[in-house]
Amino acid sequence: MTSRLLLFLLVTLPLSAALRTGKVVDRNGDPVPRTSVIVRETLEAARTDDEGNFTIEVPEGEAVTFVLTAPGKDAVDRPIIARAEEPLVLHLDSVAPAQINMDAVTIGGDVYSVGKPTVTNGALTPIEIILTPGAAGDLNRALQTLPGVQNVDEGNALFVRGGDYWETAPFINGGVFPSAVRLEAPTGTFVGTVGPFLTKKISFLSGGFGVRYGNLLSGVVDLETQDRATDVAATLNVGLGALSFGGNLPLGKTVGIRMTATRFDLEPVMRLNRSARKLSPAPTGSDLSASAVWDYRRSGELKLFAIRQAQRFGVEVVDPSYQGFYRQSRRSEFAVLSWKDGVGNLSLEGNVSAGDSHSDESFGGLTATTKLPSRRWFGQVSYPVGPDIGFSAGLEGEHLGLRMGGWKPTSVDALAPDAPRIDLGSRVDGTRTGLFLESTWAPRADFSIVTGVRTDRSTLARERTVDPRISASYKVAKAVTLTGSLGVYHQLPDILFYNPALGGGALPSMQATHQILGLQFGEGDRQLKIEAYRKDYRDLAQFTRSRTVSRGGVGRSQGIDLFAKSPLPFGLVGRVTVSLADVERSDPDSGLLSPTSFGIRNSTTLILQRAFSGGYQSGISWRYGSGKPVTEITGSTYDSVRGVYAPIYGAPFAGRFPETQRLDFSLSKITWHGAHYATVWYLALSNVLGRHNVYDYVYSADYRVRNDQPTVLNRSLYVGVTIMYR
Amino acid sequence: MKTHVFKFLSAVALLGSTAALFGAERPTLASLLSKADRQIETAAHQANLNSLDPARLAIDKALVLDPKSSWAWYYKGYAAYTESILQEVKHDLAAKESALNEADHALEKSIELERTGEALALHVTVLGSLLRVRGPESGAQLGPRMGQELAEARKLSPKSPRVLMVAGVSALFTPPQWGGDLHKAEKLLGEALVEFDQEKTAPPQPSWGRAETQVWLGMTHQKLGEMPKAKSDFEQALLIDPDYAWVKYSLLPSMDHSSKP
Repeated sequence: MTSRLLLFLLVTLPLSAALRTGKVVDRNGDPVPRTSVIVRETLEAARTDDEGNFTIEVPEGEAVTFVLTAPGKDAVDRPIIARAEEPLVLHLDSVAPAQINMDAVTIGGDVYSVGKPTVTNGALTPIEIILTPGAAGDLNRALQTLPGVQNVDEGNALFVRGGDYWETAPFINGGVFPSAVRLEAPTGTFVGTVGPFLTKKISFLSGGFGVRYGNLLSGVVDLETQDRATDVAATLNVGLGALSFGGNLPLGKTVGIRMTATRFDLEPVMRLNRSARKLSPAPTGSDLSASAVWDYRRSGELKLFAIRQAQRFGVEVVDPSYQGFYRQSRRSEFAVLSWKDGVGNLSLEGNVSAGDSHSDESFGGLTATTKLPSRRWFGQVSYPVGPDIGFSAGLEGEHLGLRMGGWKPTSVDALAPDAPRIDLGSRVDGTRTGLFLESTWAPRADFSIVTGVRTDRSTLARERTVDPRISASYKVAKAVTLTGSLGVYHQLPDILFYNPALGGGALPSMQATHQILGLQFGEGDRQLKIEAYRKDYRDLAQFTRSRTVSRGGVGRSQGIDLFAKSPLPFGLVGRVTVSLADVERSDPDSGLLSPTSFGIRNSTTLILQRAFSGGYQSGISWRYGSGKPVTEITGSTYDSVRGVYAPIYGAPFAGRFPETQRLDFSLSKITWHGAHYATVWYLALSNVLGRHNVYDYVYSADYRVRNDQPTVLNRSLYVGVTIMYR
Repeated sequence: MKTHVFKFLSAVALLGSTAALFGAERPTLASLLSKADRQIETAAHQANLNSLDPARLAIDKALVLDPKSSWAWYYKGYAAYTESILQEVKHDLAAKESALNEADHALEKSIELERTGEALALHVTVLGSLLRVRGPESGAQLGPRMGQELAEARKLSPKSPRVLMVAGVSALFTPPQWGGDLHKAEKLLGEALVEFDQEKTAPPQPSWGRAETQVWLGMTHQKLGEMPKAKSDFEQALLIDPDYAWVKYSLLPSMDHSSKP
């Protein structure tokens, strides 16, 4: 009975609230007068006086979010737990990593009007990006938690709605970032990304994107780097496997520069967490980036961004025909100069970019050197001809190159250094030019339609492609929006496919048609979005197991993506993503229509986050994948001439790896030391339950014994501290 | 029996708590903005900057309730524009420009969310003030936009008294060589007053501007040399709001002074 009474009291006792006095301060610790302070949960509100002070009723000991709105500034959220014993000081300016200012990530079959999205299908705030458990600050890993991305393996590559990872491209300030593969390990594909702190705005489009984006089949990650630095700032980060420094410096009233430098060596991480794989060396390298922004007039901006990345590693690979270390060293440089301005109602933008990538790799009979130079330019003009109609038009051109040297084994089942090899030496150059025109028509406030067409011509494909696209959005009710999109998309096969040494040659552009229908309920913090899609492919170029080119592939993918986010009881914020997909493509070896290695039927991600008193932030994520398809090896024959066993393969991708699950945890704490300095301690525990996930198999020399390929790290711990000055 | 009583009490308590949680009286968007409408106009008439604070708080609350409300952004722009006028009275020109920039931003946001004649007309007023602050060189950029937005506002809301007021004020202050016309101003402001008398708006739609329109009509009559009409207009404005400081302490006394022999 006592316990029942306690329950009764718990149910009936109202939340206690107390009248609290607090202060709003800016980044210098100075008081901010005439600011609205509103408790989001209760709508209790107050205004600050000339000394920045306010008095407000706050639920005692409960997690609440203060919304601060100062004159001339956008509203900012400050989640805290108000305790009587702690001073209530609210910082108006963004200073902590969890408060770095980035616009929302937009997701889904977005439609683009003259220069900006007219429909926001969902959003992740910067706090959610940085604090996504399991993301470890990696932009791609945070994007992997969005709908439309399949949980394929433990890598950070983005497999979007049944597309291969290289069918989704990252743009930085309009230039295509050379995110060529950093590591294609048996258990995952790792691609290059940039640090989230470099970015101001990230848009992720999982299909149905406008004609501004050409030469892409699946998705777009559009990154915009930060604006002109207006204050001196510095950040030092020391982690278990990385040391980084960043700084901002304003130069006068119109120019600002930013730079970051990172050195990473994952040897301590591998040692601490006892990697199951032999690494020599463990991944090590450096990133160096800088940007300069010149606001030469009120409407004009010139921005230069450059980044250099270098890394090397070696990992032991056990193959039936050869056991040894696969080693790779890689260096890439990228620079983009972008410009934006307006003349009257005319909006102008353009950019020129250059990228170079150089990699050396070796394993048994493989020794390859690959250089990928690229140059690109882009220009767009937008003009609203009336209040409800606007046009934009643009031109782009690029040069793509491949310089390859070295040797590769002739057959995938004989990889030893003395195995028969073919010469990879080749040089390929190609250009592509594109032209697009788009119109936006919004006859009513609740309805808009975007139509566009682009045409591209490439010397590699030796053909002209024409892509018509149309998308529309209709606000059915106040918080209900219906969206639809239909379009044709073309993309050149990766330039590696044009290497004649691999059987490549004149390959046509690959084609996909997108049909998307979506429904969104709610906006902002509470929303539910459902999107159904179908994509049909033709002229696909793929690599066979022996890394020769297979052409003329067809395929389809269809599925449903669901995304929901909402504040929850007990101060929790949660979001869930479910991506159901049915994917088929021509198997490059047999030509049969079959599932693909990246066609995951069910990818589900659940994320819960909470802020605690004392500056603590914590979160957990649970990721589920229904297991990727695999072509089983059903037996082997002995090749006495070559002295190796040759595998006998079953039906293409008829088998599936076991389902995968992973639970990640993150915790951070920010402490202020006066108005200018802060330290942030962080801890990330990946695969908390130590679940044994399988992404690949290893076989004995005669293929009779099959074992699971161990992942690089099973359960792993990462800790670090960031010291900031503002 | 005790168990049944306990279950009943628990159920009642649970239902009560839930109802309290969800049914607690929270202000609505319309009530907040309707309050802000009156408070801003009062602050403007009384030339009291501090009186704007409750209005700003109500608007910021409304934006917490619905950050995509075009009317909430409209009132944010209205409050900032009013502040720019009051800062000018205090001769703080930097604060005036800052408030005008805030008004411009908020009204552009409102227009982006929903193109209403009210927001477009108020934006024209703000752009006009910005033009004066930034100087004639900004006229090439802002002038055509003002004309375009005013035309669109009149097309969208031909009967709105505030749109008619802005059109009248525009005709009043635009030089004749650029299309200004005092008689046109008199006609438009007169039409605005007629529409004010017939206006039946439902919150959150705005209702401000009746007394102000009467003042602008008085100034038009002043410029036309029709002093008795002008004085009558100012007196009429004071009847609508006896605390209208500009009329009470400046416009009417200056007329009395000028009419003395």
